[in-house]
Amino acid sequence: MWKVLILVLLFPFIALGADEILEFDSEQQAERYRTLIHELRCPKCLNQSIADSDAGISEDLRNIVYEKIKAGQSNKEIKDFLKQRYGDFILYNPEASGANLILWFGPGLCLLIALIWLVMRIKGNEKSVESSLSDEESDKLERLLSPENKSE
Amino acid sequence: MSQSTQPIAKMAIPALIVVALLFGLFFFSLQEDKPLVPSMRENKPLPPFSSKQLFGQEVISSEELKGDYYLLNFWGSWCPTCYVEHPYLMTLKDQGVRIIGVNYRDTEDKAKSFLERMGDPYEYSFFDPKGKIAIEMGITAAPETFLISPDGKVLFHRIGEMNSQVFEAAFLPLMKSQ
Repeated sequence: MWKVLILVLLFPFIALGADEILEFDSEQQAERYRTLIHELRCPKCLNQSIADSDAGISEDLRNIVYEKIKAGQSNKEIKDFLKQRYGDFILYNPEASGANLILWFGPGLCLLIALIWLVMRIKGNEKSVESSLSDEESDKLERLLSPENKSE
Repeated sequence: MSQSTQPIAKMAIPALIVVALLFGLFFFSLQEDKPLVPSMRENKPLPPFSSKQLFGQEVISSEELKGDYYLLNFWGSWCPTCYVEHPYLMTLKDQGVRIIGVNYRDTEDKAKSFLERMGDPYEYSFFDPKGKIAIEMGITAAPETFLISPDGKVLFHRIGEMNSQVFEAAFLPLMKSQ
């Protein structure tokens, strides 16, 4: 514990992992690292980020992210590098492009279609009720609803 | 049928069709033995990488894997499934299949002890203690095996144990058809 405290005091821009103490050039770099490793998915695990996973591959991927941030690469460059090797699986937030558009907009579209169908059905029912009355029945209904009838 | 039950009956048929379709989709998705992570290296040229050779100082490169079919096998002495598949790799070697190893996240001492005990099916092995080659190839763990064509293209990526069923069903047809 004391060693960690001394390190924090000596090197203000560090990120602490499970077994890792990493040094960065700025707090902004350290923050980018912490955010990125939570946005990348462990390819060996079912539902863990590389930040949370103890798998060997996650440790290697964290090291790659660290090296690339230190080398001045942008988040997009790092994500593209990993996407080329692990596909969209590696990203916790799939990008809104290509086949992923179904994931992003599919639920909303289904809801919209269901709403349109519901509205059309309700309107259809109203029309069928109106049209189902004969002329004689309509006259009778009007008479019943007329103010004179109400006052009686 | 009374008038009030008619709309329910009308809705029931489409609802049943939707449920049946969803059930079919889930059933076939679960039946298919599809890897969780897509293999991004398949049908693409083997990427350039190099490392020190295991048990030596010579630097070896992926450029050398050309002119014949090769199996590129990721292994480690820490990996239980590598012990399971190793006897079959020895059989493949005896049958004339050329196998190149990538010793992954291991130490030279432990790797040496593993090969002395289990036999050495590899022509040589890349030494990849930090998993750089593994990430280059999109590896998730060991063992994983790639089939490389004579022109240096990745034809197939096997995640998991190599055995006679997998080799005969997936690797051999590709080696014969090219």
